[in-house]
Amino acid sequence: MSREQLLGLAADVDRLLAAGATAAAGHDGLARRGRTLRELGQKVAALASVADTVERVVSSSPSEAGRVFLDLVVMTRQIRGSLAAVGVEGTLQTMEASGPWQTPMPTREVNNIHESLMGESSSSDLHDAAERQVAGDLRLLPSALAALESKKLSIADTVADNVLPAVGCGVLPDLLNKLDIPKGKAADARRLRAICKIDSDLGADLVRKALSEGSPAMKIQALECLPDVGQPGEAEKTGLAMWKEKKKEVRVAALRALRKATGDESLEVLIQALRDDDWQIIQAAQQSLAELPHAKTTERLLYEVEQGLTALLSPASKPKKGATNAEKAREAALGMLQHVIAALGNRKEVKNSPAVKTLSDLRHHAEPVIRLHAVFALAKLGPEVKEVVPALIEAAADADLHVAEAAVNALSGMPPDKRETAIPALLERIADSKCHQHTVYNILRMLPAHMPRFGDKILERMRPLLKGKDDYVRSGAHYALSAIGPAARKLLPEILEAIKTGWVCLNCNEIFVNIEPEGTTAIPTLIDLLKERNRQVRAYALQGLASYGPKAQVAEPLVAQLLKDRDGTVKYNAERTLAAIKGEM
Amino acid sequence: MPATLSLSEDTIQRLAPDSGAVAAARGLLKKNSFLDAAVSADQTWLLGRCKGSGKQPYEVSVDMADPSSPTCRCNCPSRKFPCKHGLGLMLLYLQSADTFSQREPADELLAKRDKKTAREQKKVEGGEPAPRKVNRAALAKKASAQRDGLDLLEKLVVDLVSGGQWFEETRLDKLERQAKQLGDSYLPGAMYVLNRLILTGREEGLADDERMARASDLIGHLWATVQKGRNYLDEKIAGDESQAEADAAVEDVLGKVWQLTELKEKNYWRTSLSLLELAYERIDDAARQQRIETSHLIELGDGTIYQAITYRPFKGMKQIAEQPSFTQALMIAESAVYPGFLNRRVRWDKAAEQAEELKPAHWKKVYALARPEFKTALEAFRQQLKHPLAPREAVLLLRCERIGKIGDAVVLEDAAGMRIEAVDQRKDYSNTANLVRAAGMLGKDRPALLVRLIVRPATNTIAAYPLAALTAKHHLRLGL
Repeated sequence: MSREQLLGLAADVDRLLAAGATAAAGHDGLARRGRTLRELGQKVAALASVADTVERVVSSSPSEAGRVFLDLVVMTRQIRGSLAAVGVEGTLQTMEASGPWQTPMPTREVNNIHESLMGESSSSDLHDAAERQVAGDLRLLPSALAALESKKLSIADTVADNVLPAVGCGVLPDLLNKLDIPKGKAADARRLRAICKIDSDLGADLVRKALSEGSPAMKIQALECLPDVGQPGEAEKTGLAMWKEKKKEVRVAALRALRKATGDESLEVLIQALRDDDWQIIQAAQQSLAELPHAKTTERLLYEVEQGLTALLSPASKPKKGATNAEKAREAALGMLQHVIAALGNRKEVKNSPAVKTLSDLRHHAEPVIRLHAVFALAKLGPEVKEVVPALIEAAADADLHVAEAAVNALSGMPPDKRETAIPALLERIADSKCHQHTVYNILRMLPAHMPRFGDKILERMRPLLKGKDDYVRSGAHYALSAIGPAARKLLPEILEAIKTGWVCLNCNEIFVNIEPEGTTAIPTLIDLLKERNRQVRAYALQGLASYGPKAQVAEPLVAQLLKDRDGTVKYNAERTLAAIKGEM
Repeated sequence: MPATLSLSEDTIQRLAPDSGAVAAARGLLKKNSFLDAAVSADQTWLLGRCKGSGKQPYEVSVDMADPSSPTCRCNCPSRKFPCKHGLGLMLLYLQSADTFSQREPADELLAKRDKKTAREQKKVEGGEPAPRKVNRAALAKKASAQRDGLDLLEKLVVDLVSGGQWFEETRLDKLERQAKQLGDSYLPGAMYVLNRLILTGREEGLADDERMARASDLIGHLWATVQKGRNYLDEKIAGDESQAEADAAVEDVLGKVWQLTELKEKNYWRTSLSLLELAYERIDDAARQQRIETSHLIELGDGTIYQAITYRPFKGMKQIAEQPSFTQALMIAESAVYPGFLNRRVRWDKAAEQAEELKPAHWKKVYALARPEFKTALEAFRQQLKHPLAPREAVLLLRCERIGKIGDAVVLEDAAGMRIEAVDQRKDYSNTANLVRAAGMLGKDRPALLVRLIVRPATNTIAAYPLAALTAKHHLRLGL
């Protein structure tokens, strides 16, 4: 009884708070409540003080109503606290078994990844955790499950491929609850993918269901997953049955489903797909051919190369409807040959097969595009295959710019010790005035790593480049010399001389301190350059001096004068240089 | 190659000023930025150089004389301490100790170590610190401003309830302006409550009775602030209030910032605390305009739940280091234990902290410390609620006989059959959903739950916000 009255009083107070304390003064309902509490107060002494406060509110004047009412608010607040109830009626249903779960991640890291998953911060924390395989934390689950629907594909895919599989089988009920096979879209496809990674048996059943009654998105995902979760040969059979489907995405997935096939028919289908007009189909076929375990894949691809070469050789491929058709046929043969070469280069087993010789030979083909693809394929084989580096050296001198550049790029991507034999030839290339500026630039970037063996030759070849007219090449030479450091000291006069002509490499101002750390020659010359009329030269000389820090103290008076220079950049650089000279930067 | 130093990823995480620093340190490893990594013969120094944005690589060293509290030194310009280079060198050692050569530190580093040891020794021997200097004029000025602020607050609250319709937009706009004035009067606690009232008034999708009940609670708090605030300024204590309760409320009402020395003087101090983190929370509080990071720690001796808290204002958050999260057991030689109610705040000097690897025995001990009956926990909570300025929530470790569902409600039940409903406090994240999952794994083992008991104003019921679940073998954190 008293409990009900007290809680009733609290509710009255809430209502009167909205109506205003002046409405509480003389309020009939509150007065009745007060009387009831007064009666109850005769049995429970504590209620008497509540009744007192209520009566004070009811009998208050408008001017004092607010204060008295607030006393009642504080009192009902405490009453509420003491009467706050617990307990839920009903039959308690035990939770279904789940897990196993774990929460091993440092909480601060979990918070950062949660923010990544919610798209509130950069996704780098998420990708980093996925890479370290540490994202299997229960606390990430709510946001990870929500992120399956994220519009940021890299986040959604990382969740499906790494985060949820790392959490393990505990997450399966959550994934299954939301999985919609008949109408499923991208998020459902990711759910299916995650399930397949966690439980391949369950995944296989769902994949089969998706193939028979799933939406297009689910069929595509099912085809992608089937080779990993299905019975041996199941994916091959399904892929062959579906590769002619109307929807392109399904055809692409069907071709990808053939990646573990062993049958001749699958091999032929993939080869045939290389002739398609659509690049997605071609790419899917190339990817599957790269992995295909069929024993004769490489042999079959080599046969296609031969056929392609023959087709190119035969005069105009027997045109039937005039020259246009002949051109088309030739283009088709060329295209096919490129795709086959690319597929060949992607196969790991090619490294120890006759295909290497074929690819090396293709390097001499009359068609630049064939030579280019041969270079790409050889680059993928890597420097461990003995034919590769010599072939690339030769290709670096190719008459076609793209071929030459591709070869130089391939060499620059190799560890320096593996490409060492290429350096003399590359130095010849940069001496050739016909060599394209991009190729020269890329060669220059490789050279610092080869100074121990080819130091003198490298510097001799670079000397004329510093005086050349091509700014791009000169910049490349500056960067290379800056990276070479003190070993390039003998070219310092040329570098300084070049600046006097008015040309500077704006982003390479540490070249002097790198080449001559003590600054004996460079600092006086740079100080002289501060008086140059060309503002770019003054700005550049200031940057050069700044890189010496306190060692350039002798320049301080002249630099201070430049604080009043007409040019904004020169003034700014002067400020920074002064700070550097004083050791403040 | 020397044996691995007693260094763990947990130690590195604990030392890091923020999680970004650890991520950045990992980035250095990825880029192979470290050169000449070495370890001293006695295994107490890690030495190396790290490529950075400067001309020369940075010189990095880690002094491992105290392995649980290594000292990182680096000549990079970073303001973070330790910087990513120091953290990276430790991570590198953890990952590939065998790539470290053997080298001895330079004399300069040895001298720094000696200096540090001498400083610490002096601190130990130094005895009582010099008495604090009190700027009485400044204090008087502040008290005067607070008195004026309390007058303003009184007028504001009376005006608020007299006219009614406090939730109308024009009233809320006025309140917003007045709340700022309270901040200028050194009454931050009142300002936060007023801000919360404004947010409650503006919150969309809130049922009317819920809005009114919440407002009633907040207005009651404001009026209690007016009444008690003047007493506290006059250093008077009401008959129904202890000195400790008054000291706790002063922090909230008058925005008192306790200094460690002052806490020690007043005997809010404990020695030999043995703490273990059960949960960590990060809350962005719109009313306070602060990020509040809380580490919920249990004292392994008596089972008290303490809180290590860092308040980081949204403006200038980067300037304040994050509250560390601890994955190791901590032995704290001496710590301030703020005045408070069920959950008291703890703060200690980094030098007083020793970490210890977690062992199964720790969890066994924690599990045994859980309150076996909800009844005593609820009594203690209700007792706390009697103080008008006490927090309306408390974090406690409760042992559950069963965790289950009644309809959609997730319910905790103790051995005596008493039940509490588990609820969520955040809108963007469900700890309860994680509790349902955890209960599926631990439910049969009568798990202990670390929960925050709260009063739901509209229904006037006590509910539990789950923070962590544990048994003698497992520990699962349930929230962010």
